[in-house]
Parts: sequence; C-alpha cells; structure tokens
Amino acid sequence: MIALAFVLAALTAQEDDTVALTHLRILTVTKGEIASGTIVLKGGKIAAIGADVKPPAGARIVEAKGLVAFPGIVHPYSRLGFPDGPTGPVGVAPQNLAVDELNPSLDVYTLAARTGVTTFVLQPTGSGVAGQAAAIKPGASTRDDLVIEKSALLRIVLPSGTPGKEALKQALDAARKAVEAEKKSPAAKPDERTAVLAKFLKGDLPAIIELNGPADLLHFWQVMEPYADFKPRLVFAGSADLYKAADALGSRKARVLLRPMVALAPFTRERINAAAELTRAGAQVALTPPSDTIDGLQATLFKVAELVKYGLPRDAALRAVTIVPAEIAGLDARVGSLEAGKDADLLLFTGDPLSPESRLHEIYINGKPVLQGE
Amino acid sequence: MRLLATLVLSVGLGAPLLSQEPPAKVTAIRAAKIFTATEKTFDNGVILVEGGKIKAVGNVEIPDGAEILDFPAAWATPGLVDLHCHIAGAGLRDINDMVHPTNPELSTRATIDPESDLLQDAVAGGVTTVNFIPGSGTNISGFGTLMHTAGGRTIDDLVIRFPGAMKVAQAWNPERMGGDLGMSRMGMWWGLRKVLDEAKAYNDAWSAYEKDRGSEKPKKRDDLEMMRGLFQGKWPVIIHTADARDVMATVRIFHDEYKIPCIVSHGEFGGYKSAPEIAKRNLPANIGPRTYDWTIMVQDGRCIGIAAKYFEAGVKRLSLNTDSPVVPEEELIVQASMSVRLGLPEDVALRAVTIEPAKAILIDHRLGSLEPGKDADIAIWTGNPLDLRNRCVLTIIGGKVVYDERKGRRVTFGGGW
Amino acid sequence: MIAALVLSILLSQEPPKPATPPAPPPPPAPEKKAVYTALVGGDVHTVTQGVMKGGTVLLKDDKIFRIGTSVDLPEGTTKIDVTGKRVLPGFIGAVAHGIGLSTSQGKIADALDPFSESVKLALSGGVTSIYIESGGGGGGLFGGGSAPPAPGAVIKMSYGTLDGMLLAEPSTPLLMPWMNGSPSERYDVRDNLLKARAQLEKERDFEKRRAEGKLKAGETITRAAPPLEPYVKLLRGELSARIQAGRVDELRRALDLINEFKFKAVLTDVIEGWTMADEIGRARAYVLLDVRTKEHAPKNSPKPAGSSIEQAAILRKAGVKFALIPPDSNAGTGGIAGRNLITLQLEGALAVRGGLDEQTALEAITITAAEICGVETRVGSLEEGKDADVVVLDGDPFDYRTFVEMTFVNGKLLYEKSKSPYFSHIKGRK
Repeated sequence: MIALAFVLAALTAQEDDTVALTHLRILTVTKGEIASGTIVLKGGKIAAIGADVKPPAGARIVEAKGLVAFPGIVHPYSRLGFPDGPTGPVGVAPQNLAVDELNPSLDVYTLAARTGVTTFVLQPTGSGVAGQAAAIKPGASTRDDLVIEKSALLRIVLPSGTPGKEALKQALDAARKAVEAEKKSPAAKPDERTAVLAKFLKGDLPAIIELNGPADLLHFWQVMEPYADFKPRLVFAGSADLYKAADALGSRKARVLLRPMVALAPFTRERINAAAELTRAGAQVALTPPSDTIDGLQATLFKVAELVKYGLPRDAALRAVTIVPAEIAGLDARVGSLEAGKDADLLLFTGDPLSPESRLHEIYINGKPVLQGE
Repeated sequence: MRLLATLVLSVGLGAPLLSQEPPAKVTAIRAAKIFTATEKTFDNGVILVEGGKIKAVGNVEIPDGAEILDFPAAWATPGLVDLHCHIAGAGLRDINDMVHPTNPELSTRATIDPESDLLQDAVAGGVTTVNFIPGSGTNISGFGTLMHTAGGRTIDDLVIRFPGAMKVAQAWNPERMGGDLGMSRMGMWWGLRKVLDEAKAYNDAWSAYEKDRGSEKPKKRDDLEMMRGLFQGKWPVIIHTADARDVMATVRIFHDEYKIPCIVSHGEFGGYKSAPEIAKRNLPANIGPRTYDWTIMVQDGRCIGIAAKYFEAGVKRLSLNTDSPVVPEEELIVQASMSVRLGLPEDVALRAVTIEPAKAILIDHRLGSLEPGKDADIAIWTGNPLDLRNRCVLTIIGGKVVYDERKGRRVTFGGGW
Repeated sequence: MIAALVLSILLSQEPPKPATPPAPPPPPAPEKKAVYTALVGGDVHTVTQGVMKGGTVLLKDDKIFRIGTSVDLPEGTTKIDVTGKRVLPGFIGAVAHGIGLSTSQGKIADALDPFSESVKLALSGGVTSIYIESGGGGGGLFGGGSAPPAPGAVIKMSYGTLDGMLLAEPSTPLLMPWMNGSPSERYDVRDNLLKARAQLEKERDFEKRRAEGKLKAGETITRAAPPLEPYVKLLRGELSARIQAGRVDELRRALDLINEFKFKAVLTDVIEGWTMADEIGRARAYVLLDVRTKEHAPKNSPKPAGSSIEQAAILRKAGVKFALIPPDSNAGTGGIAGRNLITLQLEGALAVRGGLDEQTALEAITITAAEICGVETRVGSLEEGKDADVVVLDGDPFDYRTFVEMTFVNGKLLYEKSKSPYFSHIKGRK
C-alpha cells in the first residue's frame, strides 16, 4: 500500500505539466460537437473541456487551430501481440487471464501507440469459456505500464454444434450453483474458476460471446433460457451476416461487435451494411479495427467511413469506435469520449476523422504526446 | 395402364409390327397430334412412310394396303437429336486422350458400341440421332460421329455421317496442369490457331492439287485430313465453351477468323452474356447440360434459364443437349421441359431437340423434321412430350421400329451424374 | 491528496454497484393475441380428404384451424386471395443432405442453422420438412459403403427461427452390419434384436401383472441398458430403421430380418423392389423411391432384373407405401434443373410417367413421406389441428411448369415467389 503510494507520487510529479490545446474543433462523441474550444490536460486526465474554457495560468499552450480532436479509439476485442493458431478443444477455463499471455516487450505494443487506437482489450486464447480479457494502453514496454485492467471481461468463444453448447451449459450451471451457495453462506469463498463464472452470471463481469453466425445466436439464447432470472451483461461478436438476426438483436437492444465490413446478400454482389441494419433495428454496434496488424489498426476509420458512405449514420459510426466499445469493456468511466475527468486519450486530426484526406497529426495517451516532433 | 389402352394397333389389317427390313409397302402412322418441327403442326394427321423415308405428312389420304399404326391420343414428333453425347462407346475412360494438347487425328467412330445399354435407353427416350463426340480434356479432342442410336448390329449400320463434327474445348477442362504449353488461355488458343492455320494451308494445297492434278502432290497428313471438311463447309466444329469470355473467343476465332461452320456448345456459367454476339452472327448455340445459371459465375441472385436467355437475346438457332452421361441421354426431352419451365417458349424447345440441332450439324436435309423425303425417324409419345408425365412408347429409325414399349423392354430412365 | 488518489484508484478497480431498490413484481403477461391467416378461394388439396374447390384454409398461429368452403374469419385475419391457385400441404423430403445444418459434428439439434440459404432454397420448392442426415450423403442411413451411418432428424424449414425447427431427432439402432457386415457382426445384430425382444416381453409381462395386481412384493423391472434401448424402441414401434437394400438378394436379406422381428423398416436405394413387390408388401416395409435410379439388367437374365421406371406403380399395386425422393438429395444450385429437392414435386410427374396414379404420387411427397419419417400426426396433409405447413402452387403440382408461389411453415409465410429473387422473373403460364 505504501509502495504504491510512492509510485503514484512519482507518477504524479512527472505529469504536473498542464497542457492547453486551444482553438480546436472537438468531437466529444457523448456531448456533441464544439466548433472551437479548448481542452486542458493535467495529470494524465482531461481537466477541462469546452468552448469557453480558458487555459489555466502556467499551462503550456498548444495552438491547435485547424485541428480536430477525437477520442482515442477503443478496441474491445483484440489479439494484439498474441499468436494465431489452434485454440485447443472447447473447455471451461474462466480463471485464465490474458495478462498471463502478455509479452510486454514486443515491439508491437509501442508501434500500436501510433495507430490512433489508444485502448486494447486483449482476449485470452482458448475456445469455449476462454478466460478473462485484459485492457491495455499501448506505448509502454512493461506489464504495469501497459495494463490498466486485469479483468475487463470474460471471453466466450462458441463454435457451432454440441461441444460449445455443452461447455456453456456446464459453465452456467456451475455459475448458478456458486451464486446460490454465495447467497446461503456469503462468507464462503468459492474457487477462482467458479467465482469468475458467478461474477459473469450476476452481471458484474461483462462477457463477449464470439459466434460463427446468426444461427449460433439462436442456440446461445436457447442455452440461456433457463437463466432468464439472471441479467448477465452480454456482447455478441460475429461475422457481418449477423444482420440476418437484426430483428432479434434489435428487440433485445443487444450490443454487437463487428468488423467494419459489408456483408454480401447471398448469391449476389449486393452489399448489406450489417452495422447500419443492426443499428436501425435497435442494436448497439461497436466496430473493431479490421485486423490486429499495424496496417489494419491504422485503417480503422477509413473502413468505418466506408460504412457511413453506405448508410451507417455518422453518429452511430463515431460512437461505434469510442464510447460503445468502452462501455462494453466496462471502461467508460475512463475512456471512450472527450469529457472532463476522463483519461487524456485523444487524437488530433488535420480534418474530419472520417475524411480520407485527414492525417493524424498527434496522439495523446494519458496526456503524453506520442508522435511529437514529426 | 390407362395410357397403354390408348395405343390401338389395328389388328384387323393383320399386319405384324414392322420387321427388321424397311418394308416395301407403305406404313401409315395416325396420331392425335403431329409435331413436324416445321411451321405446320397437324391434329389427327397421318405420316406415310415408305422405303425408310417419309412419303407424306399431314391430313393425307392413306393408300389402300397400307399398314396402319393408330395412336389416337398420342403425339408424333421427329426422333430427337442430341449434338453433345458421350455414351455411345466404351465409357468415360475412353473419350479423352490427353497427351497432346490437340488431337485432330483421333475420332470416335471405331469406339462405337452398337449394343450399348445406354444407347438402348436413349432409344426408349425417343432419341434417334446423336453426335457421339470425344470429351473436353484437350483443346481438340478429335472428331465425333453422327449416328443413329439403333437400327443395326454393326457400327456401319448406325453411322449417318462420319465425321459428324470436330470437337474443340475452349476452356474449363482442357487446361493442362502439367506445367507445359496449354495451361493458360494464351497457350491453349495459340495452339488452336496453329493447328487451324496448318489445316487451312493443307486444305488449300490439296484443293489446288485436286483441281490441277499436274501440280505438286502435297503430303498426306492423318492429323489434318479430316479438318479439310471444316474449310469445305461439310461438317462443323462443335466447341465446348464456358463463360462469356470463352464464348466470345470461340465466336471470334472460328467464325470471324477462320470462317468455319461452328456450334457454340454448353455456353453456361454466364456464357449467355455473349448471346447478342452469337445472334448477330446467326450462329447455332447448343445449350446444356446445365439448364440454369444461378450461383456460379453469375451473381444476381436469380435462377436464370440459360436457353431462354439466349433466345431473348435473339439467338434463333437454339438446340439443347444432355452432355450424356452428365444427364442421361434419354432425358434429352427433360432438358427441353426444364428449359421451358425456366422461360423458353414450348415450340422453341421442341425445335431445339429436333430440327435446330440437325441444321447446326448440317444434316437437316436428311432428318430433324417430319417432311416428305426425309428419313423416317419418328418418336411416338403418350401426349405432349414436354409434360413429364408422358413418355415415349415407340421409336422408329429409317422406317424400322427400334423400340416398342409393348415388347416388354423396360424403360429404365435414370442414372446421371 | 495522495491517499485520496490511491483510494480513488483502488476504488476504480471495482465495478460500480448501483444501489437500486428491489423492482416491483412484473404484472401478469397479457394473453398473446392469436395470429390468423386465411388462404381464400383456392383449390384445396387436403391429400387425405380429397379436393375442395374454392375452399378456405384458416391458420391460427402455427396450426391449421379450419378448412371449409365458408369459414368465418375472426377480426384481424390476414386474408390472402388464392383464387385460381392450388393449396397443398408442404412437401416432405424423406431424405436430405446439406440443408439447414451449420456443422456435421454432434447432435443435429445443436447444429441447426435456420439462417442457412439452403433452407430458403428448399422453401422455394415447397419443401417444408425434411429428414436430414448430417453426413455427406450417399448410401442411406444403414447403407453399405464406407461412410458410417449418419444420425438423422426431421426438421422444418423454419427460416429465421430455431423454435419449432426440430420436429424429431430419433436415435437409431445400428442395423447396417446386417446388410454388409461380417458373419459375426450379422450375428450381433440379430442377437441384439433377440435380446430386445426378450426384454420387451419381460416388460409387457411385468405391466400385465402389475395391472392385475399380481406383482410380488418389491418386484421391479430392469430397463434395457442404453446400447440396447434403441432396439427395444424399434420393436415397440417407437422408432423405424432405414435399411439400404438395392437388389433382390439384399432385399431378401433385409426382409428376413424384418419378417422375423416385425419392426417398421424403410428400405432405401431400392432398385429391384419391383420384382418382389408382394413380398415387400407382406413385410409392410416402406420404401424411399428414386424414380430415376438406373441399373441395367444383366444380358439374358432369366428373370426380371435391374431398375424400372414402373417401380412406383408396381409397388403401389402390391400395397407397398413409399416416399418419392429426387436423384440429388440436396437443394443445390449447380445448374441442372429438375434433379433435387427444389423440384421435388416433379418426381411425382416422373412416377406418373411410369404408370403411378396421381393421388398416390401426391401422397408420396406428403402424407406417406411424413409417415415414413414418423411425423404423420403433425404434417403431411391439410387437416384441422395439424401444423400450418402449407404451399400455394400456380398450377397442377405435376405440371412441369408449375411453381410454388407461397410457402408457410408453422403458420409463417417464409417464401413468396414474387418477392424472392430466385424465380420472380419467370412469369406464370396463365
């Protein structure tokens, strides 16, 4: 406890420079647009933001006329730095932690800081109940500096067919028993595996359910039926053809994770904007970068702009890469929008973030500039 | 069966069924409907047959002494004609020789098996003439034989004309995977043009010699000899094509450049997009075995009737095939039914399995329609042959009955790819 | 200040717990209003009770509610005018592959994919239920060939919904070795059936004595061990067995077993059944019939052999019940029309070509197919109380130009020709 305090004191001493970015166009995402305003960064946080904010005395002033501020992109379903490969048989391993797979010295964690994605939720390897995802901010090389949340959400990968459903049933059953046991004797500590499942079932630990397609969604809901008295926080991740279940997802106001791709109507080259369809039906859509490579991360807003071109409302598109993924990962108190009190993770563009002519001029992570001097 | 009951043989005249030899006397076939494949269709008409040929068709008088075959509820049509058939020989192993990319010296004539079960099935399906061709394993697989499906025990008994047509495969099969010449369309079509150039020069040289025997005699070449007929307009080249690009290549090379009579065969997988060009040049198209394009090479979600599409684009010289055994030969009429289902007009479909294929392969002076002077190749059906509930009950080739349902030969009808 | 910072950081690790008062109990759910759809003015082919010209078929939710010439329509009924059309029960594919499943592993119930395009394709052919095998297809469920018998299930083409898609997933006893196993494997099959029969007799005797109050104190009956259970169910009539038997010798072998143990058998890949139709009839065996199956008789065969297009008509005369199946058991789009489930009704036309009467041909793709699949109480005919699986055709079902205009499954309109890209560009005949 005391060691922690010293570390924090050191940190806070470094971050005492107050920076004021002035004459910015600001896209807050949650509180509208500000045509020309000021953002004050202090101690790694957004200290103040608004049209009438005056830079505090002693602040370093950065004239940012002509630039557009946007929240750092939040990637809620990433495998950055984790290897591709076999996931193993379907199992129930909620106790596994993505942080344990993390190799912080990999270059990719510093390179990724230059892409505009400022928060990554790293998913553990596995199939079935795969484990707990960890949230990191890129731009560092040690675990402590990278990781901001060890247990952001539970990853559940559901392959089509019996093994996946059986694993899920097993997990839910164990979870229910744990919750009931907890009610009877709150002092008793269940094993870690069961504790995590109980947290999930009660809604304290959100879960991303990765599906092959819309049919798996129906199978998932079938398995969940006996647990209708619980209200777990769920997000569905899947291919673009989830649009086929738009009505079902919309009526449940479900949260859906998609890559920014169009689907093709069967047998045709007719594009279906899954994100737009789902949004229209009432679902909340989060869009992830097209891939976890540096090029893929950098291409995120370009691909999102394409979806806007094909009918996704601009508003929904901007939220889809910022506040919605932040909410999904339970990190919306810290990231996902430009608001006073939140982390100073912001992107400065030379124009509208969705315009292909705009260049990323500067990236701030925890208030520190990444591209400085270029 | 109620259908058999409608076939009334006029026993009163004491005539047995037509024997093996074409009878000297006249036979009269009466049917409720006679589809001649000309502009005229006759209700309750008569076909007079003599000496293996059609003597008259229509509401004609039956001469005294004629043997009468009465089919009061039936339809009579010309025997069906299929230009793309692989089943008359020893089987699928036998229709491709794939060492050389072009094989104009090969032919199917010697491989015909007159006793083939599959040919008998075809006869029972009303198919009387087939162009028995090699496969599509090489760019020129050889020469096919135009033959009857029955009517004798030897190959010579069956052959109508040899060569029937030269078989060319443009793409989507003949691509050689061995890494040698012929892997790409560039290589394949260069090879084709090379052979065509040589063959044209060969024909020119021999034609010149035949005109003037005093001039230098050219060398005989087995591989080019049969190709002479192409340049003389005696027999066509039938080309296995696939998508629109390949159909166009076919049209450009064979019709535009080398001016050889040609038949565009298959034309599936989006080939219909080239149909206007085929129509412009009044070329024959021979569609099958696929009757629709839907999800392969076309992407608009619709099930597109291929023959109907060609017809709509103005291709009048339309015929259908089975590519047997992909579709069993006896199901040629089913190909017509399905084409109608998917949009082709009925009369066009019936002509597509009778007179149009005969015209395309330059044999229409002999068969393909019920007209005086043509061969007596006739099929009798229990009703409109396009209705799948109807069937062929009698088949006549050259005036001889080669299939009669009442003789206990079971109609097999089936199999397929 | 630092302590506060530390505290705030520590506290921020915990997800916030909202303090809300307990919610009041939800009000009782209002009774869901029934959804009525009426198909009015068409020729209604019930299959089991004749044809009603100008009739009305009224659907209520997922069932057929009323059929008649003057039916009162409740308020709010969706009326669909089908004058000039024919209304039939949805067709049933008695064997199918590659439709409606997302994987071939595991239980079919867990592999159902109601969003598969193959389901839509089947609907366009008027097929509303199929017996799906999760394997790749080929030699029937208990067939020869190297493929192991694939599990089967009866599923509905209920595009978009998992509810009500599975109609029946029977477990099936392994009779395949009887047809082509080693002598000891054949022995095992018969041995299992003997054991099952003995078990059944024990159970029946137990029940009889129990009903008569003649049980000894504490007497119980041991149920069959799980491996034997399917055989017991088979003999009890709760299951059927599919047996591949093409030629005469195979059919004889199959009939031997069927006649000895008297179970419901479905013979598949039947080629020479027409040569022994009476024997098959006496054994009360069912047949899955591909009209176009072709095998040539050996030359100079002393007796009838090989295949025959007249097989359907001949079996019918001998009282054998059969379902018609197409040469290709899928709903694929490969290009050759008229060979798969998308044109199932045309198989009836071909059976008529071979001499079968049209009524039996229609039964062979509806009620008899349902009976073979064990679901005849639910589907296969238009009767009040049965599932609302209905098709509307633009002509005679066996006319080669007839298309399906509408397909209802469980009361929902899931396919409309005029609105689907598949065939809307192909105009009707009239």
